[in-house]
This record gives sequence, structure tokens and C-alpha cells, in this order.
Amino acid sequence: MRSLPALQTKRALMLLGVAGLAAGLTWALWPKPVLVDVAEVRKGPFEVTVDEEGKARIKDVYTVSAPITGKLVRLSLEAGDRVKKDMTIVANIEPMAPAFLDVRVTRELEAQLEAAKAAVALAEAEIHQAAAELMFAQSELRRAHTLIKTKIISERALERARIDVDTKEAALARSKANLDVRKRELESSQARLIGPEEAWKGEVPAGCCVTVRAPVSGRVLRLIQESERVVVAGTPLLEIGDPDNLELVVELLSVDAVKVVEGATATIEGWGGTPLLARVMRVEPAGFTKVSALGIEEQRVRTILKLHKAENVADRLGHEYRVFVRITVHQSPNALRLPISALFRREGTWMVYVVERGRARSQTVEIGQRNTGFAEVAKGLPEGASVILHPSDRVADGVRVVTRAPAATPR
Amino acid sequence: MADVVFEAKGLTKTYRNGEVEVHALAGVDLQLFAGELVVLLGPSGSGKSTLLNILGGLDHASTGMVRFQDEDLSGLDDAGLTAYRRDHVGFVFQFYNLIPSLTARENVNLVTEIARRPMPADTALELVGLAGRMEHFPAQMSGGEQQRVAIARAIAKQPDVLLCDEPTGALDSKTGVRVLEALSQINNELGTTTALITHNAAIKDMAHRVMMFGDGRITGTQVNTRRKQPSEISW
Amino acid sequence: MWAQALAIALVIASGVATFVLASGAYHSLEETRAAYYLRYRFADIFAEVRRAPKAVADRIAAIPGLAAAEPRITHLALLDVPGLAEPATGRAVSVPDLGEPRLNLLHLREGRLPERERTDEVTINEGFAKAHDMHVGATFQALLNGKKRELKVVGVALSPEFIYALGPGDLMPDDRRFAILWMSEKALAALFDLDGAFNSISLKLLPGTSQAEAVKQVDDLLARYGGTGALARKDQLSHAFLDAELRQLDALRRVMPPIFLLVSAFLINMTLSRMVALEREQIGLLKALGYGPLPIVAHYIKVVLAITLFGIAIGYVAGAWLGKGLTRLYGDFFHFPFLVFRHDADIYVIAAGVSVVAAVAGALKAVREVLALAPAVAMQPPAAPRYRKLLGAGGRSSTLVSQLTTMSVRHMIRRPLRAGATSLGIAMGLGLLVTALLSFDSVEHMIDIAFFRTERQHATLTFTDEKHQRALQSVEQMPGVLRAEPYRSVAVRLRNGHASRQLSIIGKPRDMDLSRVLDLDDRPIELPPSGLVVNERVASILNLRKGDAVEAEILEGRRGTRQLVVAEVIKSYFGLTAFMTIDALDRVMYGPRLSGVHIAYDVERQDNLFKAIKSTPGIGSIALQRHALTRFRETIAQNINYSVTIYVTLAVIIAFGVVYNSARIQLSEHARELASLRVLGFTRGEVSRVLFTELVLLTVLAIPPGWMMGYGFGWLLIKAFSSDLYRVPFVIEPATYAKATLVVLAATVTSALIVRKRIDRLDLIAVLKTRD
Repeated sequence: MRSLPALQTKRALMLLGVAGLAAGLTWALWPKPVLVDVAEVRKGPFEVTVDEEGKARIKDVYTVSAPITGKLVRLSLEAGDRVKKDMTIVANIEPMAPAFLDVRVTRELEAQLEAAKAAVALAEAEIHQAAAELMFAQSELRRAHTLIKTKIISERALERARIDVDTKEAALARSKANLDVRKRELESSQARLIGPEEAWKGEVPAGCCVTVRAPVSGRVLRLIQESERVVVAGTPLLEIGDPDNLELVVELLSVDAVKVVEGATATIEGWGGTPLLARVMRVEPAGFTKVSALGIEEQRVRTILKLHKAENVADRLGHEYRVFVRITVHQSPNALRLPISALFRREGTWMVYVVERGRARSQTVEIGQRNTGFAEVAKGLPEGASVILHPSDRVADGVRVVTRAPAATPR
Repeated sequence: MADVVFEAKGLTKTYRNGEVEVHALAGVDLQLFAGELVVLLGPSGSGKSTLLNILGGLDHASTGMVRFQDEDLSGLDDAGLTAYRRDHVGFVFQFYNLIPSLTARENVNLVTEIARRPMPADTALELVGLAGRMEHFPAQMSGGEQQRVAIARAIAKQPDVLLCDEPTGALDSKTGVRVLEALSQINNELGTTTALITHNAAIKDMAHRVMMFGDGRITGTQVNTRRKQPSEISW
Repeated sequence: MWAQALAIALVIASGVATFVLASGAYHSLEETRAAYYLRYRFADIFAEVRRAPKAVADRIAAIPGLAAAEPRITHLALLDVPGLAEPATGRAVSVPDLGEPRLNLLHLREGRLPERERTDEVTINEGFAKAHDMHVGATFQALLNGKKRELKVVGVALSPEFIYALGPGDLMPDDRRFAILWMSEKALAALFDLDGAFNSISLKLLPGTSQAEAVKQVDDLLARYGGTGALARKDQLSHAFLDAELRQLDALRRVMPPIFLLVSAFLINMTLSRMVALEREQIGLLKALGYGPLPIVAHYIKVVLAITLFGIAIGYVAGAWLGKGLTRLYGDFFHFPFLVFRHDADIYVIAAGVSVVAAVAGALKAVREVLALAPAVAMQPPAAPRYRKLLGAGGRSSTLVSQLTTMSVRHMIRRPLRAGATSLGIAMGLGLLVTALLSFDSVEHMIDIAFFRTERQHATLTFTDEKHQRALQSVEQMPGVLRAEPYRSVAVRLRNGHASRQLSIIGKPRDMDLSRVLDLDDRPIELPPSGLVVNERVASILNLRKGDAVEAEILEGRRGTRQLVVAEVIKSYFGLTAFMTIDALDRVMYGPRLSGVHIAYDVERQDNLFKAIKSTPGIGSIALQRHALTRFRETIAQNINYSVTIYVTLAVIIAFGVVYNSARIQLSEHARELASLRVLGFTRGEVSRVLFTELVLLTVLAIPPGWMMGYGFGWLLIKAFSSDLYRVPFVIEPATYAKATLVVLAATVTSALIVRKRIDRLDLIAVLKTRD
């Protein structure tokens, strides 16, 4: 018989070998824990915002329009220029050039001109006649004066001679006046034949134009008409506003507008600079229909906000600039926050997978408010609980899990 | 008198060889006593090997009874026979049947590892005079040396009985004598009951008793009053 | 002997079967596809524009080398299908009103094509029809250019252009949620304001025409109409997917058979050598009697051929049957209107030929031994084998290691080549198993990355065209939406030196949670404020590294070429992708725009959400991520299960065959020793230990190389699957190694137990009377 210790050693070694193999196989076949991303449920500030794209606009934009129809001189101002109330000349309007005459009208007017000329000639002829007749009447009167001295003629005749002279003087005056009239008519006819070419020659005499002055102090926001052109009275020419007087306008969905209260705080982003603080001034009571970017009709409500006084952006944020507005509709300074990527539904209730002692366990939760990153936990989770984010389909109750490093949390 | 080691009564063994029935043993009765060296002599085909196989637990008799000490061998199943061979019997065969991939010592160790009360392998090999060849493989040894290793292997387990089937059959006279000397020494010194099969009549003189075999029976028994030493034997 | 012969025959059969089945399926599908394309005049080039007048089509047709040009109108539309809560997407494609289409012909399964100018008639694709059990007369609603219309099905058809009908943003074809709608050209023109114009054109080239040249000319002509770059057939979506599938089949048929044939050659060698060794005496006798070596050799070759031919026959039958089944499986999946089964004679001839050659090569060594034997020598028992001592120099160790173990080890060491080859055979079986099983690991990893680490959104909404940024708020305000992340997609052609690729740059916001970008170590990254991020495949094709500059030709909107800098290389399993922050992309283009939005939504409000989406004209399609995952799992699972079953069966056959043969040969070589041991009183269990120890040692030795081979085969296979469309990650879990090892161990133990039965039947007596 072999020595006992040797036999035992051999048995022991074999047992060790087999045990080692079994252990190795068991380890290899043992189900591996699932790798998961985990986050802790912690208390912290939580807010729900209504987000929408909007525009900044200057309150009280003054539109300066043409007071009179005429030729607008090219505006020398540019958008951005400062103007002072009643001081800065913002626009000059000159008289227009007359209109073009077509052939028929020209012929008519030329005929009228000839007629006027004839009328003048006639009037001049009549003046001659009237002058001649007056001269005769005057000489008659002189004769009558002489004759009355010799009582050749009667007083009545003298009287008649005097009246005759008066009459003839009046006739002459009338003729002269008539001539005037005819001359003026001639001028008028001539004037009617004035084409635009006439107006383009020469300078405009001073005092003929209308100057428009700035109605308020501020800055030129926009030149609506810039170039020289004929404008009718009332044509908007430019907009002036005070850039310091900025407000923000955003068109919210009516269901969102309902959640917004006047005085609510908002953050303004997406304008190109650092986020600004603002406050809701007004939610308009009436809504309107608008087609969304995706083609469906929506009811929208205009909401006006005002930047906090401290924000100094007048030089940078301008009229009709894009802003992205986030209006706070709910705020909790110390809410229990749960990342929404941990939530899933099971038979209608919200659940999460909690990691306890290295295993996953599903847990019902009740949530309150929700924003795009987190949800407020109303019931179901203590502070510090670890929840699995975006659980894969290999995570189930009791499955062993191991955290991937490091845990990524949404914003 | 000495104890009866083997007792057999009415042993027959018949087997089929194709269409022919061969009666290898046709009724054998014998007794073997402890400590004696018995030679079973007979021509080939006389059934002596068959008898040895049955005595050694390698085969079952067709009819008859065979007993080793108190145990009835015919009632044993394969596992029982294996255990019987393991614990009680030492074999020596004509063609040595050593394991070629083991050295002489390892061949002997094979047996000492499973024996109940073995002697150290080195001792057994010394007994047969092969102390200097222990690390050699069978392929490196002569026929006689191999047979002596086989003998060492057989006796290392200190068996109750040693069965040898033509141990010198493959050897020349001189080598064969050496082998017989080993067997004789063991029988003398250890007192192991030994049964030796051979067709070589010269060997019979070293035995205590001789049994003659023919046609499947024992045809005669002979007791040697004076035993020759193996060195006195030649063929 | 017959059991051994059977084992060898099975191994040969496996090799032949794999070859026949894979080649058969591959060639059949190739042939089917080619015939389909040919008969139905599948176009060679496809181009899309924003809008071009018909006259331009004539100019394109005049390009030298063009056989035909067919303009048409195509547009996406959201569908409201009865019985389907979620919105489906349809691609409306026009059919000419006069005459038959000239290219991309339709194969009508049912009904007819729509009548001219009928805006309410539509012919749908078979996949969609089957998924909703729709036949002629069924109706559903579609949002066409802002207006919801009811469409009536007048026909069901198949087209080679949409073998793989993949909706925008989908990974897998989903016949339930994506349809092809063929409508009258005039009707579509009216609906989408494209009278006298077209926004898509297919071209067929004359043989010998340069594709690149034609593409360039088409692009030049279409650039001013908003052309986004013409695609050659190889980049056409449906064709590309089909190609990728077929390429996998090709990989299968190249990799598997050689392995099997190698193993069978080795097995034959081993067995035949043994057989010859056993029959030494007879051979010597025959030679002594005057038989020349040739007739004797011929005899053994005949035996080998018999086994081989038997194996080949089994292989033919199994291969043909399995091949047909596989072809049908694929045929159904691709909705081929017909199937062409190729039974190339040469496949069979090659399979048979190679098998025979392998077998005979295996037999060669044994045969040479036979030839070399001088008759007298042959008739003598062979010289006793020489053993060497490696164990047990002293007496001490012999107590630890039993003599039986010593025997086993010495047997092994004596025939190092054979032991090594056996071990190698087992290792190959193990390697095959690892390769088979690793597909599960790889796919799970891919799913984890793609569906749970990169694209975690519940759905992706694609707009009909680029929309204003405000569209994001519009989506956020839809019922049930929890979170919305916008994206923008711009078609570009990236160029570096002479390498170029057309792809889309995706602009994403800086804080990504739903749809993320992972770096090469699978960690989520933030996109750099400027610069381009490309995925590995793009980087390797265009030879780009971090920091390199790449030329980007913008193909839509603000055309022109820009220089962009590669800021990072990331991992991606699907497609050719490049990313930038959406702000940076907006700067490159005219201004801020969105192409679509990824959303996470509350499942409870799903119905309301879907209703809202179905009525939103601006939304072109919606891709549902969970659906995609389910479809992915179903499709992949189907494919994998089929192939894994095959692999595992084959691997077990190999392992079993090798082990069984080895054990049998051991037994016959050492029969005498083992019988002697039995005689000496060793139990059957102890004696079998001698055999087992050797087998177990060989198996254990085979494990590390087996794992390495599995790793290597797997790597090769995964590489073969890589294409522009998708890549599979190379992942092997320890469990896979363990499972494969267990299977091989089981095969070893089983065959050992079978052989053990023979030990019980050793003839103890006969062995005592014979010489070695």
C-alpha cells in the first residue's frame, strides 16, 4: 500500500484541481451584473418653465409719415442715428415735378394756349378801343366844359359827358382788368403745358419745402423709405424709438399662457449674449390663430415682458431681435428631484428602478411637476436613493447591477 | 498436514469454436496444499492452461466446483473475480506481459499500489536479482530479465498463490534455469504456493508434486521425494 | 471499426454539407437577385433633387452612355393605418401615367396600378400588405402635403428597388410600419406642386459606361435644382443591405469547409495508420506471397474512398436540403417574387474533389509505411516501442503520480505528433463553438450600445423638410412629450485626397441625453464647439485621424466646399456618420434649421401623441425605437439561432469524432497492456482510467489553443461582416468560453464512456497467449 499521507496529498490535489475547475466554470457562467448609469435623487432648486421664441421690441415706436404729398428727399439719417425731439430734421419734402402730358392733352392744352393768346390779343384790342373811347369821351368832356361856359350845352349834357368819361374809364379799367385776366389765363395755359423737365432744371427756392422734425427723442430704428421718391401724404417714412425702452414679446400657446402670471420671472436667452432676467408685464386677454412651424393651427396669446432695470443691453439688444424666453411657471427651491430619464410606465403608474445592495428593484413613484430634465418626487423615494437612468431591457427586479463610472446626469 | 489452498471437483470446460465444441477440461478433481510447488505437465491442448485460468479466476468452469480457501470461485461475478485476482493471486506468463511504458520498478509498483500487504518493489526485484536494472524499460532487457521482472511483479504483492503458465517457454535453457531458480527460491523462502504449467518434462523434477495432464483430465500424479535444484535441470 | 468509419464519414459529411449549403444558398440568392434585377430593369443610378423641370430629364437622358432615364416623383408621407395606433410612414413613388414604367418595373401580385390622375388610388408593396392583411379594396389614410387623404388599395406589387424596405431612421425593415405607395404621377404632381417637374430620377447605363463619369454628369446637371448627389446602385439602400447579407453567406462558405476537411484529413490519417499497423502481418504475408505493393495500396485506398464517398453522399443530401431551406428562408425575408435554385455541378464536384484529396492525403502516410515494409520485417511483430522516462526520476514522485497515470503520460509523449494533432482537432472544435456562441455576446453588446447607450429616445420624428427652430417647441408641446432633442442632417461629400464618401453630417445640441455620441471607449462625449466628429469606419475609409482637415462638399442648401477639422473619432456600429454641434452646422449652412427631433414620451399618452402626429403636416415620418429593438432582436435572433445551431452541431461532430477515434485507436494499440492490467487484478474502472487520463489531458491541453482559435476565427468572421452599412463589435464574454468548453468536455466524456464499453469486452485470455 502506498503511504497514507501521499495518498491523501494526491486526493487533496485532485480535489483541489476539480474544485478549481468547477470554481472557474461557475465564475465564468455566473450571470454578470448589468452595467448601468445611476444618479442620486437629491433635493435642490427646481423650476418649470414655459419656453418660446420671441422678439425684443421697443415700446412706443413712432412712425413718422409724410405730412404732404411731395418729393421726399433722400433721407440722410441712418438706422441707429440719435435724434432729438423737435430738433433733428428727419425728412425734407419738396414739391413734386408735374406729371407727363400725353399727346391728346398736349394738343388740347396747346389749343387752349392759342385761345388764351387770342383772348389776350382780343383783350389788348379791347383796351385800345376802350382807351380810344375814353380819349374821345375825355375830349368831349373838355369840350363840354368849354361849352358849358358858353352855355351852349346843357348841364345834362355836361353831366352826360362826365358820365361818359367815367363809363369809358371804367370800360378801360375793365378792359385792362380783362387783359390781366386773359394774361393770367395765358400764363395758366402756359403753365399747364409745363412738363416735368422744367422742374428738373434749377434749384429749389428756399422756403418752398416742408421739413419734418423728430417727434420724440431716441434713435432711428428703421428707415421705411430711404431713397428720394414721391410720397403721398401719410406714407410712413421711418421709425423712431427709444432703445432704452425695450420690451419682449412672445406668442405663447394659450394653454401655456394660462399658466403664466403677471409678475412671473423669466430668463432671456438665445439673443447672442449672456442670459438676462425679465419679468412678465402683461398677458393679453385675447388670443389669435397662428399656423405653427409644423403646419398645424394653434391658438396663441401675446405676452409682454420687461427686462430688469439692472440689465444694460440697450446698445446691443435691438428692435425685432430674436430672444428665447423661459418663463417660470413653477418654482421649488428645495424639491426632491428625480431625473426623468429614470422614469418608465408600468401598467399606468410611474416607476423607477432603485439600486439597493447591488440589485435593481422597481419602485412606484408619484411625481409632481416636471421639466425637461427632472421631475419632482411627491412620493416613493427617499433622498439619496440611487435610480437607474435609461434602464435597458436587461434590468429587472433582483438583477445584479454595477454602476458605470462616472454617472452622467442631464442638465 | 498443510492447509488446502485449492480444491476442485468435477471441473469441466467446454467452449465453442465456430461449429465445433471443444472440451478443454473433461472432469478434473484436485487439491493444492499451502507451500507446495506443483508442476502441471502435459502436451499442448491438454487443458492445463484452461485449468490454470480457472484457478486464477480468469475464467469460469462450465460445470464443477472450485474453491480457494473458503471461497467458491464459481459463484463470483466479474468484479468478484477481479478482486480475487487482485488480492490473492500472482501470475507469471509465457510472454511476460509487462507494461512496456513502465520501468521495471514501475511495473512492480503497479502491483504494490493495489496490494493489501505488499513488499517494497526494490525488495522484490532484489529477490530476483535485478537490483541493478530497476530503472530500465522492458525493451531494454533480455527475455530472461523480463520474465524475472514479471516474477518480481507477481510476488511483490505477497500473494497466497503463484500461478505460472509456461514461464520458461520463450527462454533458452540457461536463462530458463535462472528463472526457475527464482521461482524455487521464492517458494522456499516465502512459502508461496506455486503452480507451474509446462510441457517441458525436465522441469518436473523440481516440484513437490507433479500432475500429468491429457485430454482434459489428470491422468496421473507423482510425488517427488527428492527434488532437484533448478541448476541441476537442463533441456 | 464501422463506428470509427462512421465518425470520419460524418466529419467529411459536415465539411461537404457546409460547403454545398452555403454555396448553394449563396449562388441561388445571387442568381435570383441578378435575374430579378435584370427582368425588372433595376436602375443603375438614383438621384434626388428638390425640384427640376421635366426638360432637365431629357437633358440627362442625352448624356452619352445612358440607356434610359426615368424621372418620377417621390415623397414621404405619414400614414394612419386602421388597427395601428402608431403612425406609419409611406414613401409615395410615382408610376408613369402613359405606358409602363421603363425602369424599376413592378411585379404585380394582385390588382393593378393606379389610374391616371386618381389621387386616391395606390398600389402598395407586398410586405406591408401582408403585415396588415390588406388586399385590393382596403383603405387607409395618408397625410399628403398637409392634407389627410383616404387612399384605396388597387394593387399589391413587388419591386427590386425596395427588396429591403427601410423607413427613414429605421435600422431594420419593419413591414408593419413602412410602406411603399405607388401612385399616379399626375396625382402626385398635383399633390406636391410638381406639375411638369420631378424630384427623383433613375438611370440605366449602357454596358461599358463609366459609372463615376455618369454620376458626375448627373450631379452637374442637377446641382442647381437642389440635387443631393446621385447614388450608384451599390449605395442604394435596399441593394446595399441585400449585398451585406449575401456577403455574410459568402464568409460562411469560405471559412467553415476548410476547417472540416482539415480535421477529416487528420482523422483519416490517424485511423488508417492504425489499421495498417494492425494488419502488418497480413500485409507482410501478402508481399511475401508475391503481391506487389500497388494492389495492397489500392485496397486501402478503396477503403478510404468508400468511407469518403459515404460521407460525401450524406453531405450532398444534407447540404442540398439545408441549402434549399436556407434559400427559402432568405427568399421569404426579401420577398423575392421567384426563387432560382442553383445546383451548380461544380459546387458538388469541388466539394467531392477536395474531400477525396484530403482523405487520400491523410491516408498517404500510412500507405507509404505499407510500401516500405519488407515482407519479412512486416511479418515479425513490430519492434517494441521505445519509451522515455519523463516522469518519476526518483522514487518520491511515483507515490504522487500513480503508475496508471505514468502510463498515460508516456503514451502521449511517445507519439507527440498524434497527441498534438488530436489536441488540435479538439481545439478546432472548441474554437468553432466559441466562434458560434460569440455572436450572442456581440449582438447583445451591439444592442446595449446602440439602443441603450447611444439612441435612447423613444421615437425620432423626421420633418418633411428643414424647419425653423421653432419646430422644436412645437414638438415639445405635443401631448405626452417628456423631452425633445433636435437634430439637423445635411448631405455632404467628404473628401480626403482621392478617397471620398457621401454621407450626412448630423448636427446635435450640446447637452445630449436621449441621442448621444460615444467615443471609442464607449464613453459619452460632448461635441466640440467646432469641428467634425467622424466614426471609425469613415475615418478608416478616408484615412483620417484626430486633427486632420477634411474637405466637405455641401450637397444641399448652401452649396460649396468647406474645410472642416476632425476633432474626434468615435465608435458607431451603423452606417457612415459624422457629427457637429447644431450651432456649428448652422454656421456652415445658411442659418438655423432643424431636420427632426428625438423625443422621450409618456407611454400613457401615446395614443394622443400619435393622433397629434398623424395630423401634423410638417412631420414626414416617425421611427419608434422600441419597435426597432424588438424587430432587431427578432431578425437577428432568427439568423443567429439558425447559424449557431449549425455551428454547434458541426463542432460537436468534430470534437466527438476526434476524441472517439483517438480513444478507439488508443484502445486497439494498447489492448494487450490493458488486458494484462485486468489480469493483474485492476478493475475495469482503473483500466479505463489509463485511456481517460490521456484523453482528458489532451482535452485540457486543447483548451487554451481552442480559445485562441475561437478568438481568431471570431475576429476574422466579424471583420468579414464589416461594411459601410453596419459593423458588429467583437465581444467574447467569459461565459462563452465556459459554455464552449463544457460542450467539448461533454463530448469528450461521452465518447470516452462509449469506448469504455469496449474495455469491458477485452478478451483477457487471448492476450496471454500472444506476443506483443
